[in-house]
Amino acid sequence: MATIIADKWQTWFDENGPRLLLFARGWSVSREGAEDLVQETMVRMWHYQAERGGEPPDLALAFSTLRFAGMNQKRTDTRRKKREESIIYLNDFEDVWLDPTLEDDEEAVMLREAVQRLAPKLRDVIVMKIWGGLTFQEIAQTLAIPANTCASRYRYALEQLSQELQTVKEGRHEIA
Amino acid sequence: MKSPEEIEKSLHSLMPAALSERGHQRISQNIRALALADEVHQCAESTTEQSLTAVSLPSVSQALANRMPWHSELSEQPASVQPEISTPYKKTLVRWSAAAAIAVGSVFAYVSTLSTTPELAKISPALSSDDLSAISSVETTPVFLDRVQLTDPLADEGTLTAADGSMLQQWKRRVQTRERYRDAQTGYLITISESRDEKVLVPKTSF
Repeated sequence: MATIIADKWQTWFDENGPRLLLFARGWSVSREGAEDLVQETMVRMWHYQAERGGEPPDLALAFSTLRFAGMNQKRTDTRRKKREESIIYLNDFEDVWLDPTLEDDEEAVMLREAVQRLAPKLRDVIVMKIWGGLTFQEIAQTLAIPANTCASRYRYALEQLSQELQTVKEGRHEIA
Repeated sequence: MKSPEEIEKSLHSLMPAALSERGHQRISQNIRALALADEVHQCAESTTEQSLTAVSLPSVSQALANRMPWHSELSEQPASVQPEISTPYKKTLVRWSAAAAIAVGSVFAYVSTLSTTPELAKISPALSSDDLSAISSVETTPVFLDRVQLTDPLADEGTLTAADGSMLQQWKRRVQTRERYRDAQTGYLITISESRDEKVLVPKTSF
């Protein structure tokens, strides 16, 4: 019985792990930190679902749990921040939020970078809508905001991405 | 400039980056460990359930009555008769009272555990008072295991003057007798501990 449940969770994790990681990147400064957050989310959800039959959760609940864990971590990180200010991080240039292997053009690269630069409020909605496949209603429940606000943020994020792409393109053309 | 719909379409073509191999392995192992822990927990719960249903909890009053046959006799006697009980019988009474207290404590602790733990209370619904009275009708006699007597060193308590004027050296020591019994019916280990202070008076002939 436990093996069957574990297999279900493994399948669920294989399918949704990258989505959770993408969302977790908004709450963590590094990829490792985001993976830790995903792990913590998995454990939290396991215990939560154990009282409800043990089946894997829906993605909206997973995003919500991850957001909660992220906020907790952020509070801890704020206290830790002063201690870490003297540490120099070596940037991992392969550290990307979206998979670069599928990008075959310059525009995709720019778009990926633009998503990373979005304000957290806008980025969360984009991630949950585009890659999580959630409805505005589900996103609203996850973020505890009205659905109309979610829709507005989504539209604003798309417009902002469009403007940024245009700006970057124009800048590169001028240099060329 | 691209329209929002075109941006949306472009975004859909991007895929989230996968977890690192190490991170993926770590979380997969975590899932297995959680599943295993749950399985162990469930096994432990089912074992507890079986053992609880197998335990025959005797009725408190009946069990005590069986172990203290004099109890009802004493209560029926007038109070004036009680001081005339001989010393050995009194000691036995003290020991058995201590045993009864321990047994009552054990049973109450067990019953309180059942009532405070919801899961345990749920899995033993068949343990009703009727069953207990039926179980308690079986005669049970504790089996004597061993007896140990512990004696503290003598402590000097100074000198006393007797009524006839002679000097006495007074010594005090604490003696503890422990007896262990096992209840053949329930398997309970009963320890009867009896402590007493003994005073020894020695005539003092030299100073």
